[in-house]
Amino acid sequence: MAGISSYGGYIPRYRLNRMLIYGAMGWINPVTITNAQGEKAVANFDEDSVTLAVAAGTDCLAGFDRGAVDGVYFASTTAPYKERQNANIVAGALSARDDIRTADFGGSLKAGTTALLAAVEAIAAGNASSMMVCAADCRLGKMGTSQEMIFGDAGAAFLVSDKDVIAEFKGSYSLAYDFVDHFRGAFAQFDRQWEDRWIRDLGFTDFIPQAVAGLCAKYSLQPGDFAKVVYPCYYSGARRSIDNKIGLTPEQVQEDMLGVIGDSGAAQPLVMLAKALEDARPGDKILLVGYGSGCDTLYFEVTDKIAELAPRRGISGSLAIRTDLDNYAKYLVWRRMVPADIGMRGEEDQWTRWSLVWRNSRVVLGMQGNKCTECGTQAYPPQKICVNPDCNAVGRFEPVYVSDKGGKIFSFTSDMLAATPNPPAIYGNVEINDGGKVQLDFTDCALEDLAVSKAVDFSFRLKYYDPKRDISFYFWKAIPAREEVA
Amino acid sequence: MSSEHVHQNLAEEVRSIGGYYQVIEEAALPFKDREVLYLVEIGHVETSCCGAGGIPFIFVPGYIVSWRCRENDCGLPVSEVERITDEDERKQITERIAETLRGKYPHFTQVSFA
Repeated sequence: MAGISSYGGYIPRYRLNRMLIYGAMGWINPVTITNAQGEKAVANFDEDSVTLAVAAGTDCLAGFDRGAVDGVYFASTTAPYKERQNANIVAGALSARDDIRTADFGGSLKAGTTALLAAVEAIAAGNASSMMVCAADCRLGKMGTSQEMIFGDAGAAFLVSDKDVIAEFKGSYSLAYDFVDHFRGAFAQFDRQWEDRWIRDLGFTDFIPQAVAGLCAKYSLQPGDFAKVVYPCYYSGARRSIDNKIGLTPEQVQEDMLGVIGDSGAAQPLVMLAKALEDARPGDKILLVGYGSGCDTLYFEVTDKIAELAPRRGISGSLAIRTDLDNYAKYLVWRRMVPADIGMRGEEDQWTRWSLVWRNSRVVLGMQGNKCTECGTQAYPPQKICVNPDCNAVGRFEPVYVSDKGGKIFSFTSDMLAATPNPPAIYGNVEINDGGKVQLDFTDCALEDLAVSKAVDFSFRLKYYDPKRDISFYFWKAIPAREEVA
Repeated sequence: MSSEHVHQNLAEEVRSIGGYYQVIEEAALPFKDREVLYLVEIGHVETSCCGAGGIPFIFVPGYIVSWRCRENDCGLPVSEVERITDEDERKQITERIAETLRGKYPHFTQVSFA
């Protein structure tokens, strides 16, 4: 049986009230007020689609053996690298093995569902036992556009396997159309779209019912057979038309969370699916639709195993951890939409030494430390000589990943001179649970959130961005432990 | 002289060739011992020869004479209103509405009278 064995989600902590956008930019395009309800999730300055995917993947893998993962698929239309596989960065941060299959899926908003489909079909074909699918997007609309209002940042992840399946994959049906509603050229920063009516009436309202009808015909199903139908569509009026056209009751339609997250692009259907699984019951049939350059439909049936899945943060838990981003200009700077002066230190050249990065890739990406096989003392960064003064064994270690262990604040300070788009820079020393001490940046927090001995989690983030060479460089940072924030 | 005003459902897209309009709020403004009906509306141009866009505006049908006194053939409520033709009154009402809506609906500057 192939299907979903676990799910996870991640919504960035910062939420931007859409009326703040309207207040700043409504003068240039006043009709954007129709999209100005609620708030949207905004990635922190040190987050991007890769870090969001890692956070969702970490949530998904809670309680599962990372060493058992046979592949990592990453889906996004805002991947930071065109050449350098983004899925490898995600796999490294999730402490996956080296002998796995990795792939980036992009080029369409249905990339998320296509990646999920590829993973379940790999499992069904017996080519792998366990695959991770991580999807995330941080799309940008130009200032003053409806896209700026609608787009939100989020990630979702699924562990697909043939063991302990909570939602069995039952089948799929796809449509491929070169229907150009939204598009970005190879070097475009911002989304462009064609006319709303065309997208709404010919795109969403036609293709989604077509795809659902195709799947139903293929498997002799009726739309009424599904407990939940998950599909993306940011036009609320069109959602009602689509529901009527397919013949769905309001209870069958999964909420799109547009008013609290926004449309998260390639991740949107998967974010909605993760939310649907939070409330799903054994026997529920779930229909997932991905939209963009056509449609993917995937049909799942929830199993009894869903009751045995350990509680996780998921979409609901992640949504509950929130802070208002009460400054539109800060949003623009964080998303690199406008230049801001961060001081002369910010102009220093950032050299990325790829040979050094390769030598330390597991330490940097996976936060891999080591543990003395003689006395059990854990160390991070990894040591060659055991730091236990009563041991001092040489070269007798086994690797240990510490990224999910958390720690306690040993010391911290804030620095208004350090170059950062979110001053003050806060950094300090963290004692890792079970052993090891490391100096880290603190993020997703204010100075008053921190105290010596307070618990922290580790979060995979952009350590720096080199604009000269377009290099996104990642490392782990400390964030206040989620349970304490919530 | 009174005339009829048909109340559209709030936030519903009233579609036409090339676009639609939406009434996003309707309210009554006390003015000289009477009540002035005004609507906060947005007109969207989606498909036209000259592009896409839109305009937010305030529409003032007139003084309320009889509030939602009947339904029309489409089941929509109808009020009886008295059009405001006096230029001085129009100017004062425009200023009062702008003042009232400034915080809630910034960038809504055009006021049209029936």
